[in-house]
Formats: sequence, C-alpha cells, structure tokens
Amino acid sequence: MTDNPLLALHGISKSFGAGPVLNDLSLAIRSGERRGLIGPNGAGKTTLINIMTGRYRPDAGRIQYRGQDITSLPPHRRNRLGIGRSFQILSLFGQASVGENIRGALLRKHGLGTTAFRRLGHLEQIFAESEQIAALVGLLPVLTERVDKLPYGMQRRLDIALVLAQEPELIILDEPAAGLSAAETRDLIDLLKTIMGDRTLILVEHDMDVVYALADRITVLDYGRVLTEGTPAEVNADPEVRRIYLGEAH
Amino acid sequence: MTIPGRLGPVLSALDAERRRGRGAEALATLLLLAATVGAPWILSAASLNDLGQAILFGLFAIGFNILFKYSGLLSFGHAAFFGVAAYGEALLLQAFPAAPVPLLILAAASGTGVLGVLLGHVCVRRTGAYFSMTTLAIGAFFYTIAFKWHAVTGGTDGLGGFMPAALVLLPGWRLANPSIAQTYELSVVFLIPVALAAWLLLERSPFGNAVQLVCQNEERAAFLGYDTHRVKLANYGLAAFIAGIAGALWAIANGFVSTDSIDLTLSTTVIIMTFIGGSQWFWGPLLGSTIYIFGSDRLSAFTQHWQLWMGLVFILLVLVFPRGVAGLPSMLFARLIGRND
Repeated sequence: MTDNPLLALHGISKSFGAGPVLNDLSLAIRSGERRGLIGPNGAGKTTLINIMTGRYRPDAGRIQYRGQDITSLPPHRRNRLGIGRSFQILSLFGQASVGENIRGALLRKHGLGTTAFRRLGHLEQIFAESEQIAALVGLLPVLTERVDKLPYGMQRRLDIALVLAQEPELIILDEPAAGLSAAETRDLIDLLKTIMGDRTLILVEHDMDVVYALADRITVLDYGRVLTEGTPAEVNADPEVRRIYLGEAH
Repeated sequence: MTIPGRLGPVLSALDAERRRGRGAEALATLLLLAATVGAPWILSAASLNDLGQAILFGLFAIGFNILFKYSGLLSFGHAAFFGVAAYGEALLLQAFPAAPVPLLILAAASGTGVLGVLLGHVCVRRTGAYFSMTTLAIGAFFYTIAFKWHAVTGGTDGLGGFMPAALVLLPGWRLANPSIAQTYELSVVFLIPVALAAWLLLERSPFGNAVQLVCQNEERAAFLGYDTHRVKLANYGLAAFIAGIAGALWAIANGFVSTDSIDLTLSTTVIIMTFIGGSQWFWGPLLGSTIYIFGSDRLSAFTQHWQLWMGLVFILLVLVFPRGVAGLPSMLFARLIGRND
C-alpha cells in the first residue's frame, strides 16, 4: 500500500437481504496501476464496482478518491471527478446511432452536456472527435447505424468507447470480454493495451488470459473480503487461490 | 487522448447521412408553419378562429408531449399548468391593465414553469404508472383549489371582467376591443415563436440530446456524468412553461377563465389531441389539435353527441394509425419499400 492511493476503500460492508456480500473490505489503488479483481461467482466483484462508482451506497465504510470522501456522492458526480466505468450487462443508448452514443459521452466531457443555446449539428469538433473514437474501436463503418441493430461484439466495443471518450483518470471495466469470441477477446486486449496509456485501470474479468494480459497487480476476492493480493505471478503461485479459484474455474 | 492522424473532416460526410432525415423534418416544419401563417388568405373568419384555438391548444399539447416524447413521462394532470397560468394571467391583467401583454404572458408562464420545477421534485423520480398517478393527483389538487377558492378564482362562477378596454401589445401599440375574434392573430404572434424555440431546443441543442439520452438509458447517462434528475426536472419545467404560455393566452383570447381551463377533462383532451396528431413528431400535437378542434366544431353542427363521435374517431385512429396522423407518411413509405419497423 502506498501513502496516497488514487482510490481507497476503508472497511466497506454491504448486504442484500440474507447474507453480507461485502464484509469489512479495504482496498487501495495507486495512480497508474492496472488492478485485476478476480474471485469465484458471488465473491462480490460487481457489487464492489457498483459501490466504487456510486450505484450502491455501502452499509458501512468510506470511499476516498484522491483523498476526497466520495462515499455519499451520486454516480454522475463521481464520473465528473474522473471515474469512468463499463458494464457487465451492456448499457447503451439502443435507439440512438453509434455516433450519437459517443457524442453523448463527449458532450458531457466538454461541459456541453446540457447546453441549451448551441446547435448540436454545428459542434464540428465533437463530430470529428466522435469519428476518431469510433475509428479507434473499429466502429467507424457503422457510425450511423442504430446501436440495438448491431452485433453483440460491436456493442461491447461501443460500451468501452463510451468510457474512453471521456478520458477518465480511473477506468473501471466490468467483464469487458463477457460474451466475446476468442478472436474478439484478443482484439479487445490489443485495443485496451494501445489506448490505456498511463491511466489507472480496475478490471473485473472471468477470463484469466485477459487479466494476465492487462493487470500488473491482482486482488482475489472471496466471500466479500480480500483473500490475497499481489503480482500476477504471486497470485498464480498462491496455493489457496489455486484451490478456491483457479483450480475450480479451470 | 492522443489519436493518430486526423480523420475528422473527411469522415464528417458519414454522419451527414444521418442528418439528412432531419432535413425532411425541418422542411415539414417549415411547411406547417407557412400554412398557419398563410391561413388568413384561404380560410373564412369562423374557420380562422377555429385555427386560432387549434394553435392555442396545439401549443398546450406540445407542452404535454415534450414530457411524453422526450422524457417518456405521461402526464394526466397537465391542465394544472394551463389553468394556473390562465388564472394567473387574469389576475395579472386585473392588477396591471396597462402593462405590455407579452410581459404579463411571460410572467404567468414563468411562474407556471417554476411551479413545474417545484412539483417535478415530487414526480419525476417516479416513472411509468407511478408518475402518471402523481400527476393525476396534482391535477386534481389544483382543480380543487380553483373550484373552492372562490375569493380568488370565482369558483364555479369563474373569473371575468379582467380585460382592459385596450390591450397593450407593446408600448405604443394597442389592440382595441380585444375579443375572441383575435385568437388567431394572437396565437400566431405569441405561440408560434415559443413553439419554434422549444423545437430548436429539444431537436437541435445538446440539452434536447441530453433529455433523450436520459430517457433512453438513465443509468448510463448518470455514469457518463449527466445529472439525470435535473435534466428531467428541467424538461418538466419547460413542459409546464409552454402549457403556461398557452393558458395565459387562453385567458386573453377568451376574456373569461373558469374551471374548464384546469379540469381533468382538459388534461385528457390534450392527451387525445396528441395521439390523434402523433406523439413521435414534435409538431404532431398541433396537427392533432387542429383535427380535434375543426372536427368537433363541424360535428357539433350535426349532432349534440359530437363527443361520442369524436371518441369513436379517436379509437379508430389509435387502432389504425397508432403513430397518429403525423406517422402516416413514414408508415406509407415503409409499406411502399416493404420494410417493417
């Protein structure tokens, strides 16, 4: 742990009905780090992401971003501080075009999200930028297509494009490879490697190839607490991790 | 983000393709407005008066539909805003008979818009049937106030006698003997600019874009940094403001305000107008109100039971043209080229 983490969770607990999903969990992510979050189903990974991004409030504990307490901030305020996320279950603007989706993210980033006295069609910079982002994720040929008519793999890439468009300081990807073919997954890894730069990444992923390819540090969750944490090699060698997670899943 | 190369200007042509459909929509808008402005050369005086009413209620319906089309919220109590503004305008005219009318209309409508934002805090967090039920309650609440608060609203007697001998349209420009005969002129001068501004705002500005994104996927919009509650609240306020402009003008055009301008019947009439015209086009409600006003006027010449026939026409329209009259061209076009969506 370092002195000044970018994102720090202190003693987070959350339960839904019967049992606790997260149990007194603490976690610190340094700036520039690429952290993989792994663990068996039901370990609390997605709940943890939802607590980081403001979809859920924790029952107990505090969350700090750049030293600022963000525990009670709603999602849009956390996004404006520089936290961007993707979704395990795709969450797009289905009736809009690919370009309109990306422009929605860009307009907000440029502070033009709810401007009333500008013509959208005259914001050439936004249009040019949306085309560049679409080209980057290979969606330029379908820029004007309706999103809900696109194949799943393309929708996945759009989901990530919306995060990238905002250039967040902290990128949280919730199972970005879910439902992708092996070839699509390889493309995704290449894409993420080229565009991550020195951004901070938190990656939840079942596909261990993706985690090993992208993460420089891995946290293993089990029953809502941190089981262990270390470099990919350390985690891979941990006998308990092999027993409860890697051994079972593979 | 550093992106290699500048692909932008060349590729803008791609997205221009999507904007082409908007050209057709802008043309249809222009034709519609030209028709309303050119009507005096074609229509008789009585029909012109009908058209004035159609525009007036059309603007009210546009206000209602701003919530339905762009935020996906079906209001069952929108007459509350029309009525509050109508009573407000009557009281303002009583208090300031020499003030310029546009200022009074703006004041009544702005007050209504603020009321909308305040009430919006209660209802826009709800969606679907829960939102509709809340607006129904709000409508009933304001109707009861108008009905019971005799000292201010005149109760069942209504409010009359608030019209000055001459309306001050602008300083130095007076309209003598303002009466119902001028509904058309007043409507064209006051309502069309407001509707056009609302159209630009919702169809062409980033604000309108945000309203539609929030409607499509509120959660994702929030995680992209949009304050979704405030976006919906602003749109609710806008919908109340526009209904307020129509209500304020109704007080002037009518010279009399009664509970007819705030009751549940009016809240449902505006829904019927919207669906006849087509809720999926911004100007659909104006088409619908025109069909409704002219239809009921012509029908009432034949039969006392015109509302029954109007109701049957409504049912038929909803069954045969679920997207309203405005949806007809695209429906026919789709059938012509054998597409089915």
